[in-house]
Amino acid sequence: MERHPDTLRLDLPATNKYLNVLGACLDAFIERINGVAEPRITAYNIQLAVNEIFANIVAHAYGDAPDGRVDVVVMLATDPRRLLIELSDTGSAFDPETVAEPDFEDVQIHGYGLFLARSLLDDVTYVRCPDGNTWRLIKYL
Amino acid sequence: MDLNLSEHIVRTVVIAPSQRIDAFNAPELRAALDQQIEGGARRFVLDLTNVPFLDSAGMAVLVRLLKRARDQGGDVRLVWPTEEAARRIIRLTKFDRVFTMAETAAAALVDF
Repeated sequence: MERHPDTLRLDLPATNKYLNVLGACLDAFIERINGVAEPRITAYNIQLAVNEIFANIVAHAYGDAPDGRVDVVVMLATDPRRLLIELSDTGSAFDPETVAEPDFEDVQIHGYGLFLARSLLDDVTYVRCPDGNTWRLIKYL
Repeated sequence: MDLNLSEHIVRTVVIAPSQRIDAFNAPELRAALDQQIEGGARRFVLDLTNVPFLDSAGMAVLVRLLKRARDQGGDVRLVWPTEEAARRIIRLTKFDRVFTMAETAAAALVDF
């Protein structure tokens, strides 16, 4: 991702313990962007989508192993204005195609995470890299 | 007169978390609800009024509770969160069709 002066970079332990920190950072970042439609709902949706991808990395890329890291880069791009968020890890590969959409007729316990991320953002791309995984998220603002 | 009177009490529990529910603390909520089920509670009101944030791990706890409660002949009612974005997520995931929703815990209790 091309770095913009306003790029925010977080290096977080791969644990769900800091989901609240990640969420608060995203909220604060979005709060300082002028002219966002429905800012509170937009911020919530972005926070939730990123939360789901992060928790997915913790559970699947690292299998809840304690020493992994997740690199999170948040950037506001222009023309068109959009929030770009990248989450990178050095864990195991993940195949998003194996994740089924939730069955709304027969409510289930799991399977809402990626559905939420894909529903709330404009683009969710998973890339397997030689040394890990990268998730690229886009939300037009 | 022989009335053959018997009394049936179904234990109802109201739980009203006031913090965000995410993948970190959802297991704690799940354990607390499991403890209530194992202690005999069958009807649950999950009052989400003051829950500022609910992720899929938290939603999974709600679905698990619903399945366990219904397996025991009970049920679960949800109280809508105040946070509009959270209300929209409940609609997006169609949880408002799976659960009986209420605007307040008192209304949810009347509904049982």
